Amino acid sequence: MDCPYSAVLILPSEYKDDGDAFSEMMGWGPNCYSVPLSETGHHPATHYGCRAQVQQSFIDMFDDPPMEAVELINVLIPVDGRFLETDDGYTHFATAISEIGLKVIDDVAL
Amino acid sequence: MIGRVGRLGRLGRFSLTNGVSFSPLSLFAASEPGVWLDPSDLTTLFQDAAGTTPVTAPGQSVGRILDKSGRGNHATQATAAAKPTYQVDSNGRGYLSFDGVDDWLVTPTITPGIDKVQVFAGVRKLSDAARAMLLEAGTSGGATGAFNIEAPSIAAPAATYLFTSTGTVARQPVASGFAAPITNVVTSLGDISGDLATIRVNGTQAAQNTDDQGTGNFLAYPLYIGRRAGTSLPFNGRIYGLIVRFGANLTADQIAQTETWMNSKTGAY
Repeated sequence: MDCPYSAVLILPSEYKDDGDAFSEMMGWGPNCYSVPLSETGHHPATHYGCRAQVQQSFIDMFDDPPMEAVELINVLIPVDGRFLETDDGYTHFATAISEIGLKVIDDVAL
Repeated sequence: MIGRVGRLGRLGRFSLTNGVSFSPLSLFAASEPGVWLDPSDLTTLFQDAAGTTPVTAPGQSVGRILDKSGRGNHATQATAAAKPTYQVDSNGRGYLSFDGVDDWLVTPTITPGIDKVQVFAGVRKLSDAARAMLLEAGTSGGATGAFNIEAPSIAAPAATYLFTSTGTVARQPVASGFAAPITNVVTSLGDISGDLATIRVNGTQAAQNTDDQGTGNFLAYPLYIGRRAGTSLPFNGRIYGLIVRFGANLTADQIAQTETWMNSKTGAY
């Protein structure tokens, strides 16, 4: 299965549970939106993100979404270059969240 | 001798060090708890966490990698976006690619029953931009009876690898001067009662802490690979191989043989 595209999806935190539930229903596993984000890089998270390599068919779903996905797609935060033909997911994600003024919330414990 | 080497080669897990055959499996000969992950062995890689769909080509995600130690501590990931990717480098070496965002694997809970741990990792660290967890027992290496390896660590300068070994007190030797992107064989040796926490890079000791680590054994935790507890501090880089062994301290020869074997999979030095 060739997955040439990097996808960055970001949801407001109040939609995290809906996003995770939809992803699990689609067979993509639990806790898909697992990266906590905020403007300051500190808690609480205002948004959650995920990053994955995807196929063209996944991208096509955004142009013609199934009914159960419409609401979720509408609340995804618009980012330039949501899908890029790259396997450098780190740079893709970092660029995407920077463009919308968000930072990853990091753990500072030992 | 040539014929003998050929037979060993077909077994696919032996290398020769100073003319002596060596397999990491020998580290687990006395049923030591631990895990041995070898991404160069395609027969151990599966796209799904259940292990039903094999990985057959670079670019495919990895939901399960089998433990070759014989302990059955297979590492898994059920969430599509969080699965690392199998890739092959320009020298033909297979590895797991972690995206530095949300990729990680986890083993079942491993019960060490001893206060000594040895970790051998073949890695390529692609970024020093943020603290990252290569491997961690439980949810914090600073917790009682836990350990971790950070690549890089939180402390500036970030061109580091850090090993945390914790009995009831955490000790953290830091190997400095390893600026990303860089490929290394990183060895971490923890001994709680012996008050030794050692980190070696490319077969050479890089740092050691001999302060008191407190008491007790390493405790029963799952091993998180590539991300702290599956929630933070994602590792951006490659893992060419990983061996975690809870057992008596290894001899210098055993350490050298294991590092040589790991380097054969990594090409670090």
